[in-house]
Amino acid sequence: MQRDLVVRAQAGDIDAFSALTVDRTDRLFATARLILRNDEQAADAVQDTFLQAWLNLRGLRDPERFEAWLHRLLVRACYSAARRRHDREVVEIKVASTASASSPDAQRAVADRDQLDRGFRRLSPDQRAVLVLHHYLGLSLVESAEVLAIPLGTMQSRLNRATQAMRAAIEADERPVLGAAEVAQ
Amino acid sequence: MNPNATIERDLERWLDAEARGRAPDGLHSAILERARTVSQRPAWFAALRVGDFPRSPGATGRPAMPARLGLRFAIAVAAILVATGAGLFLKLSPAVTGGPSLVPGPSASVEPSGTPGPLETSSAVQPKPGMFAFIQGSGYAGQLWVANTDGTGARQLASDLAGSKSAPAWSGDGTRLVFTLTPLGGMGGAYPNPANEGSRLYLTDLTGSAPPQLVDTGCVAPCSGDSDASFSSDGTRLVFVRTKFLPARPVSPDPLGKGPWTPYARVLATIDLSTGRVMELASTLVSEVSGNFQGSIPADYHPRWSPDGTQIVFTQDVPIPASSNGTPVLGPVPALFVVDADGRNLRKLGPAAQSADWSPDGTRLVFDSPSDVVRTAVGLRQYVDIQTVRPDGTDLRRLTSDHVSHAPSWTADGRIRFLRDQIVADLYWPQLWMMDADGGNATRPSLAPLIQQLVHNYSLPVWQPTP
Repeated sequence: MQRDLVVRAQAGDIDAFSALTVDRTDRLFATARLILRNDEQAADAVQDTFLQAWLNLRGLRDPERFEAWLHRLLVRACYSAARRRHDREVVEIKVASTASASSPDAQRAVADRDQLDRGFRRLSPDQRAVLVLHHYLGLSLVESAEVLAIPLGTMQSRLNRATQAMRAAIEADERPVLGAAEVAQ
Repeated sequence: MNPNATIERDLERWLDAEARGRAPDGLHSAILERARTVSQRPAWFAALRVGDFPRSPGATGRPAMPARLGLRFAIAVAAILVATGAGLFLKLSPAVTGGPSLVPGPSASVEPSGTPGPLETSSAVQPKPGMFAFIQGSGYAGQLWVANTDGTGARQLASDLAGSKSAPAWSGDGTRLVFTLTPLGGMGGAYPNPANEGSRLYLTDLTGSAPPQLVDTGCVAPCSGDSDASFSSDGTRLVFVRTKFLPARPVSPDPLGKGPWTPYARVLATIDLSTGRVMELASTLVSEVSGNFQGSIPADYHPRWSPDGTQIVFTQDVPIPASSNGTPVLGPVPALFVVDADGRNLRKLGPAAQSADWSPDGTRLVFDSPSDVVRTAVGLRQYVDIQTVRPDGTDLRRLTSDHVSHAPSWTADGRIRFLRDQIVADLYWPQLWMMDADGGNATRPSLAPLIQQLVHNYSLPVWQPTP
């Protein structure tokens, strides 16, 4: 079914393109939001992704690879969006409600989520993309490497570096802030 | 944070939780609205712009290869073409002239088009001299229209024929049109596809007094379809593209269980409209097996007769040589060929090229040529410029150097009409320009809104010959 839709869309059938994309919009938006950490930029990235997909669909040789090809376009759109906002970076901070987190376990869970959120935001967009492709979309290293158009070995090292960066960011978050007097000592 | 938990496990849980939620309302419809305002790029052009993608394991056809290697190879090939072809001729040819400048002039303002609205139709308006034909709608459901050059009197032709119309071409006296009709089907049924299944040629006049006439080309299996026709200048013959299937080939191994592979081939053919005699020009036959078709949609052949009716120029995809490990790479690329009307004396002209058209006196061909590939922040960009050459392949002249000029055609008075893209926010906004045969005096004429809208959507007007 997907192959037929892709071939029809390659022939200019906008209805087939609509059928191909409608069920993917939410998931692509979620992916872009994770990489960009910004809802507005994520929506723009998804729009750019689908527009580029429509414009360049005839360049896709194998219709069976539509999904992976779309992920590649999305990651590129996210990189472009990240570059565009570089000069006017605004970090969205979600304020999580702790009203219901009354138990110690629940409070710790909220604290863990916030810590992960802060750590993830400290990563660069390409580091986030590597982690999102592998840990959220569930792509294998080979599939992720194809999406990013990089060799498998490079993908492996990028994933290791991104994970280390995430760990370092969280550890830095756990360290107490030194006061002026402590710094002086 | 629990120090014993792995970062990976916590990260996966957190990502799943963070990803919940839906895209903003209206996002998908906005996407479709934008998509309707632009036309898709040709396969080779799109592959160069967004990059190659390897085939899935077990897919029929050529084996996969790493995408970056393919792109690098394409860049290298383009560079070689420039160095050995256009670049060399640039140095040697004293007749090279500059084209439009890189900086758009004051008149070349950006006018992004909105969603095309319904055409105003009128059956009461009489045709005026100098009309144009055009296709409205996507390639999947294109409809044939004609209108006066001022945009008035738009009329739909062959509206009773179900299917998608494409590739209209005028007879030399401007009284008839030939076009391709491709039947439509439901999901998984017949639709325009690389094998052109069911495509047929039709003739129609402008009066609408008689129904369109099927051109009986005798297309039966293994013929899959006939398409993309044009008239000889005396109106007695058509040249067209015939798509046919080759014998099925076993696929081994066949992990996807798709069964045998039936490759398709394409060959130029002519038909004498008075006798009905069809002649396939065997020298022009290429196929998936020969590596000439790697994208789903091959380059348009765009066959055109020479004014004296003795030769035909056309575009055909040419496979790029295999890489060192034997796997084919990104490609193929389009190239120009000239063949005698009887199929003899086939010859390839110059560098990568497409969209050729004969000068009114038949002494030169104008075409657009990919001249370079550059990497930008948003991907690869293909440079395209306009050149002319003698039909024997000599005296290549580059007319533009702005890297965004393409789709040239000759006017009856010996000037060249072409498209020149403005690139705004990574979107291409084509504008119609005119220039002299030597590339001088490039100007952007004022156009009727209908024509401007068509140009913006890469749906080029097909101008009626003026006897």
